[in-house]
Amino acid sequence: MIQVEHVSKKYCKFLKESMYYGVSDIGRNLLGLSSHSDRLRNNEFWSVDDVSFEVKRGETLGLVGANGSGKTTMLKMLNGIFWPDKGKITIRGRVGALIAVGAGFHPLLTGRENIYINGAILGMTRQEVDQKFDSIVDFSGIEEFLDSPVKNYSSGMYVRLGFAIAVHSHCDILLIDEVLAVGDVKFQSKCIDKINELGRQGVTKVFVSHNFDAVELLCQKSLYLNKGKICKYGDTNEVLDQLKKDVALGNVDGDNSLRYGSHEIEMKKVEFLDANHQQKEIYKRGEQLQVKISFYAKNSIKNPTFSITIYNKDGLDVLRSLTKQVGFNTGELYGNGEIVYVIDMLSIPVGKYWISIGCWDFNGYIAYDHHEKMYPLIVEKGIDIPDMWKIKK
Amino acid sequence: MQNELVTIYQPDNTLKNGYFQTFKEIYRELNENKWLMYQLFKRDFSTMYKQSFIGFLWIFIIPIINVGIFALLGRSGILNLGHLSAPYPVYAILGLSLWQMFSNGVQACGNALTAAGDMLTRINFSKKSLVIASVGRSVVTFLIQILLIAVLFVIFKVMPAATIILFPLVAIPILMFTIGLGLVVSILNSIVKDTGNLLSVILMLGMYATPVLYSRPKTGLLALVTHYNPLYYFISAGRDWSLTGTLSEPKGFFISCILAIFVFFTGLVIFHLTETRITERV
Repeated sequence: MIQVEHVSKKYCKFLKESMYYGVSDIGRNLLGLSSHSDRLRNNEFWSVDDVSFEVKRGETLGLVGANGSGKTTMLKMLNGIFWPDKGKITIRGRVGALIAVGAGFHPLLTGRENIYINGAILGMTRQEVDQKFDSIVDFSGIEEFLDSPVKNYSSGMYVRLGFAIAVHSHCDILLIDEVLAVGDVKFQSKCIDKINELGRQGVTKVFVSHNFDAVELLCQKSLYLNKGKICKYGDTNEVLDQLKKDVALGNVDGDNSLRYGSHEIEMKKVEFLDANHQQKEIYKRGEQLQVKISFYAKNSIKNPTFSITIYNKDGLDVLRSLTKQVGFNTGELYGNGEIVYVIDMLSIPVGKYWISIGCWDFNGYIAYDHHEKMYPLIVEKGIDIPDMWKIKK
Repeated sequence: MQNELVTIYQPDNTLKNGYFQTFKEIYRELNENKWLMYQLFKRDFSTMYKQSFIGFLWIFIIPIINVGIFALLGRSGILNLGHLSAPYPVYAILGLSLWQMFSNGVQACGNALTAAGDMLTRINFSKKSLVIASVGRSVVTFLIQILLIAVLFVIFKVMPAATIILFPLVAIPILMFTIGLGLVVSILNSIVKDTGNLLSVILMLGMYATPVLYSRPKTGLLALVTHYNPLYYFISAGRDWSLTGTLSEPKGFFISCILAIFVFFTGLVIFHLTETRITERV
């Protein structure tokens, strides 16, 4: 369905030069000369660099990576908004996009008028809009405001209407960019249901998201981009493992939803050690686990709270510990330091886990540095934890 | 699927496909997007006077004020309006309505892409349709102004020539000229923002340099400029058909029509070849 062969796209860092290059490219296009788009000029860089992949009919591909890694540019190229400077993209079928839904709404026009206009912009025919009108209204749930101007809509209604129109346009390939993060929880699950339904109808999907759980849930294959290049391409689980590891090691820069905080205290290194102070990732059940956090406090901070949470593969937390809750006083921190959390006996079931570690202000309102599910932990069968059955008759 | 749509994106696409393909692609795009153009036009038009008290009256007020100023200047002798074939207001409004269609049309087209902003970088849709649809507003304004013209004919007791029914037809070559020019301007404007400002200056100069509100001068620089001004021939043809019934400069009009057709197609081709560059620079 989608075939991407050695595709690259360049950008210019400065506006003035970008303007000049634009004019010269246009000139060359007009004169029938090649614009030599495969070469970099001064102050240009590759925002997507030699990327190749393929999506088969009915498959869902996840596009992941830090901000600025070229995911969105890639998606826009698939949509035909940007044209590649190198390589070739072949697309079979009609492309629909859930990118920034609601773009093109006119604030002064009513919901009803905007449905028609937006439908037309998204490439629907008049019959198609007529036919799907009721379904769109029903899906968006804005029926009673259908005849008032959209500028009076709440942001939620606006997005819901935009999504409803976009998702109703007939397509063979659907490009989805982060839109699932909008609206209330109820609407979100409605969206996911709708997207899954389209999947069952054989629609091919490309999905860009920072939400790893959603990627894991929706995508069989994933593509991990970093600075425009492919880091890993293949099975979603493997790709996400790689990405999470890279984030933990600080190999992926850019602001990332995996790591956030004001950085007044920075957790510079997190080590997982066994009883012999050996660093490892795989532990036997019943073993001792030490989590050593090396931090640096920029300013003097009184009694910050450290937290550690272990999640199972379904995203449920199986263990949570906060210094504040257990009454552990961290005192005043300034400069470099270390804090260690010790589990004497790992008693969680055998399986794979992700660990979040955070450093907060005393009340836990302000995140100084939070590492969201960045560290993998594998628990294997091991020492028997002393437990027993008793029976009375 | 039998007739599955296959789209290929690669650099220098047109070079690989050849120029002939360009015309086919343009035709197909415009043909497929008729409804989109209509919707975009409707959006433009229905929001035109949405937050205004007197709304559509503006369509009449602006030309009346313009003509009023010129009439005043002419009466007080500051300006020589030349020999006119009809009472000044009738003469002036006939010209002004055509000129405004051109000038507002080019400006609307020129700004169409920059005004769309976000939409361009987020949705892949026919940009030609957007630019062409934006000329619709000035066409409707022109059609409404025909009413004003009819009223003035009655007030000033001017007997129109039978050929006055041809008057609206002058709009066709003017529109082709407008759209062709507008397409090119819109591309330039989306890359180099100076174009928009430059355009409004040029159009203002153009209005004074074209015998819209005065008759064609016989000598001097203006006479020379007028001689090579296709818009003059359109406007003068419109007036001739309304007032005298015979074209005073048929050759000029004919050449200008050919030019308009040429500009229209050239504009389309230029736009088609360069539109992939727009979104990356907006």
